[in-house]
Amino acid sequence: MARWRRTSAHELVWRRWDGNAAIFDDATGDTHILDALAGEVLGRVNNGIVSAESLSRDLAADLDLPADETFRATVRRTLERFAALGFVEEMPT
Amino acid sequence: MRSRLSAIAEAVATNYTGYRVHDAASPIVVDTRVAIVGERPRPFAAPRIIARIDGENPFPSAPLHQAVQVLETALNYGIAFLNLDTLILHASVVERGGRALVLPGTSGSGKSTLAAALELRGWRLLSDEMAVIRASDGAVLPIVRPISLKNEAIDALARFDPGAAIGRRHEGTSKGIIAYCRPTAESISRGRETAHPAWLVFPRFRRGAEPALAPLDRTTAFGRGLGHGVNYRRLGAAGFNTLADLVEACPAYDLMFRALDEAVACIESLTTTG
Repeated sequence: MARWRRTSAHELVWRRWDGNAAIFDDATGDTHILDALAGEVLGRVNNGIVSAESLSRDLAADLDLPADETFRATVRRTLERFAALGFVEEMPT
Repeated sequence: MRSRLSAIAEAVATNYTGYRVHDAASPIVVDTRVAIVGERPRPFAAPRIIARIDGENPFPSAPLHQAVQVLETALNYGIAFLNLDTLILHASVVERGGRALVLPGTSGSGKSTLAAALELRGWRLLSDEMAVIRASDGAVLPIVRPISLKNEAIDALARFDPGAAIGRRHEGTSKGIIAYCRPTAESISRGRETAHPAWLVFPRFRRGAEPALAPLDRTTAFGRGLGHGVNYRRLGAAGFNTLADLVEACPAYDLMFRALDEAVACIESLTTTG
């Protein structure tokens, strides 16, 4: 089961508004605006190591969405996007 | 500022009447040497002008008739590269009762014309073109400069208030016809007073559109503000926090308008109720 953690290379400054978020990446100087799902995904990985499965399950329950394959794929893609930005990484198994 | 061009002398005399030559007590002092000089690129060629800013020529030369536009652009350039802890947004700012209304917008959005109209209805101008927001406390610093009006906005403001101090029209500039409206005596005399933002309104002039004021959520307002940042990236996290503080401090709105009197009425209704 894939597990994810935050990286230490990017110091992120956060603001959260109405479920959405804006983050500033001190390493690159880039600003990102996140919708509610992306903000939750990044926020939860920032708070500790999580598996993609448990993250999908918990998020679906909290957001009142079905934890089906479509939702799990969306969460995986979101994690991969954050990995490409260097914010999170998949832990070696 | 140095220039031997009569157009510059006339524009300064008209647009900057009533200004202090130097005000060391101002919260913002721009110490920049600007020279607008004429040159002939080749013998017998039409003369062109160059803006020298602190000994450098950051802009390409321009035709002689664009001298006044080049002067104002050069002065804006000096402000944009201030080494101060300030976030600069492409915006006009007016103030009333100690509360500032920030009007971010691109060229053609109507922000300058709307700011000029509001000034003529009792608001104080803090700045046209650039809102200079101090990172330490979020206050807007005053940059009380002549308001740049373009094309049909010139007649629109003259119709809105025949008392507007609109100077000579400069035709054939890179943005069409430009005229500068001198700020009111009150705006100039209170040019040391900062103000804290209370409203963030993104104006958009659209011919024929029904006037509409629509609230924006903070994320959208932040994203819009990003698009108007002049020095946002240069400031790093301080720029992010200053802009985020701004959207947290101010309710934000989209304002669509087709006529100045309607836009002013929308702003009055917004700012007298909240």
